[in-house]
Amino acid sequence: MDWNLFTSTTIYASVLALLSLGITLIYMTTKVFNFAHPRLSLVAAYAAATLMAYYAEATGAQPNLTPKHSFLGSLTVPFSWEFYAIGILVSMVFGVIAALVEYYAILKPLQKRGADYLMLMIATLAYDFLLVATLFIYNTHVDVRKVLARIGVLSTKMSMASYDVTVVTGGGVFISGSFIFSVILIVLLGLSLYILLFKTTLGVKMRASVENPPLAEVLGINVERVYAISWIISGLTAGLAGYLMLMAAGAGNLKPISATSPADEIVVSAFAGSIIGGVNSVFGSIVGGLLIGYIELYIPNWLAIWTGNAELFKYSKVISMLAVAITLLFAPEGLAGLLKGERWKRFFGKKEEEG
Amino acid sequence: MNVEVLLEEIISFIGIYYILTAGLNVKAGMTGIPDFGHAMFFAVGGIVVGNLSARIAAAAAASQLHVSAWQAVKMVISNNTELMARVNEILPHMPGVSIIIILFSVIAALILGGLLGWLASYPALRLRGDYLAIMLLAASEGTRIFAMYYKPLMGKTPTVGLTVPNAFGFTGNAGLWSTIFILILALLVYIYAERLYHSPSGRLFRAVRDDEASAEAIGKDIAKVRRDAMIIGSALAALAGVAYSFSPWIAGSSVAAISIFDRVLWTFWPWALMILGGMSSNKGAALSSVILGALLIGPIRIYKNDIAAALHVESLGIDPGNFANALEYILVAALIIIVLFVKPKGLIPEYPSRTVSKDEVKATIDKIARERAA
Repeated sequence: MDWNLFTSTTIYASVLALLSLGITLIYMTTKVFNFAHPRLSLVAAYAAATLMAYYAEATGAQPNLTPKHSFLGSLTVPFSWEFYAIGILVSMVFGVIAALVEYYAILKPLQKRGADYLMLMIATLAYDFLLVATLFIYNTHVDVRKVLARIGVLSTKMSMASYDVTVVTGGGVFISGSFIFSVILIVLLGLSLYILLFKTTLGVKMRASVENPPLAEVLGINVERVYAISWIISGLTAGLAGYLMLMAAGAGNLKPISATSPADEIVVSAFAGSIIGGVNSVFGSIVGGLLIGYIELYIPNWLAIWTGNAELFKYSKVISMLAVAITLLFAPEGLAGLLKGERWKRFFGKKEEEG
Repeated sequence: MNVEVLLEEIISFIGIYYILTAGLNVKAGMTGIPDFGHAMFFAVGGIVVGNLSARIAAAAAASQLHVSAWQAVKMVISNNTELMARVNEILPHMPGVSIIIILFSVIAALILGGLLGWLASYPALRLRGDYLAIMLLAASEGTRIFAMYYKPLMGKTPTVGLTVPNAFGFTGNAGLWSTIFILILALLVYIYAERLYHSPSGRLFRAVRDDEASAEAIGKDIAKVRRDAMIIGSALAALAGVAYSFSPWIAGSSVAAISIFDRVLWTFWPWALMILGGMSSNKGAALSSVILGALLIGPIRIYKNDIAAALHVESLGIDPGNFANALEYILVAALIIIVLFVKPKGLIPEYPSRTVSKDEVKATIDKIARERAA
């Protein structure tokens, strides 16, 4: 098995899983497919990169790329741990801010005026355009360029992959920090969502508000607060996805970050993950996102080896489009619908009954 | 800049965007099919001109290039830039062939666009609402990626694309005559769309959008109605693609996969125009195309760099070129949000259709009664 393909695919799949989860959470509560979702990650990535660069400038830290010997093998840690902590924190904060602005400034007021799903969808598009425009102006601003250039990062083709923590074990196996981070992140996220949704009162309230908002309101549940929490979670995960895009640019189908990339390419794959998971299932969306990530890179890889035609790899994105088409046409409930048994019901949520 | 050129450019913009918006209006406005893959159908027009029509031009010019017609046709893909540069020198001396190419492009785009719309209507029959929107968006993205890398379709490099045959070269003023061509197409589409709006089938489209169950209850075939709307709307989008490809002001001299599949320009702009004009309102679509074409799209695309320079953004440390690009995004976004908040029904909301007058209905009933009695 190709280890490097596996690690980079895992990072890519985790990014998709994070984005799919956010899209699903928003769809469950606000009933709109958020076209701006992957752009929230880019906002977070730019904020994180800028503040990381400022931190490096303030402390005068220089990237230290000489490997050290450790019990694992030769370990490279280019910056101190605060550098990475700032990146993770800032990306989460800015992801949440960008998501809450979208909800409170645009979607909620429109919903109050009785806008239908189409208008809300268009509104998320408009918000996406506003973010693109902001990033266009931001990432070519003289000061931003200067501060990023100080740590050798190009503001319109942003990547910090060279500053990722890396380990080369004694056996010559290459492990990147983003890979470990993404694996831990997905496991922790799954566990904490499980605990939140099924082991706490808040989780009961959240599930009730999604299933039947008017009834939940009658029972004294603050539905508005539940919606706000789900927007916060989805902004948080979008921010973390942005951090991964920054630190692992080049992994899988992740291109270096600019105002448009990789959000424009990734948006349909993220929707694919959400739809394959069954749009009304939180855990389904995580599994769906991971699945899309793996099949998008592994199937063309196998096909390319099988036919001996490396050109086929370029069409990798077509696979997620096909996955969307097949799911919607033949199993519209997605994974959640296929795994409807008692054992799975808990994880994938109850099938929504339609009259 | 030359005033005549500016005027031609703006009129071409208006015409292309009106045809495109009218197509979207039939699908999304009148029938309620949320087509977020409109660019896919627009691209059909570009492919027809850049690929099929160019082959006709090459075959016609083959004898003067000293190659066989079949070789010339094959060279359209394998050696596009050099071949088409020479074909475009010869084509202005062949008015007959040029006119055939124009007519062929229009007809082929209508047929192929309709065909693709018919194919895309398969999911439209099974899915509803936002699921369908995502499905069509995914289909459009999938087609885009396929067209980008499949060389026999759009040439070797997705950013360069295929050179368009200079079919208006024979008139001596390609810019002016292509503008007139676009204007005529737009007027024909306007007349057609207005008739469709008032016709029984147009009213049926709106009935299906508003209440499928009732339309079904009075014996209408919902599947057929949605299919028809997809075919008509997609054929019109492909027509807009032809108009775009032939315009030296808008498309330049070539069509590239990267520009004809652009979802901002050819899916989201028409959506913005349709919402601004009023969903399903044909007059609204025309009005918003004219307003935006004249006031925003045209002048801003042309003058955005001058606006950025006039605002002295570089003194704030902002890059003027990127500010100019961002300006277009900000305008379309602000416009959509303002319209959604202030005038969600659009500038000209859906208007009642002209129906047959009471007297005429009475006369028809009397006539049928007399025939029965006889």
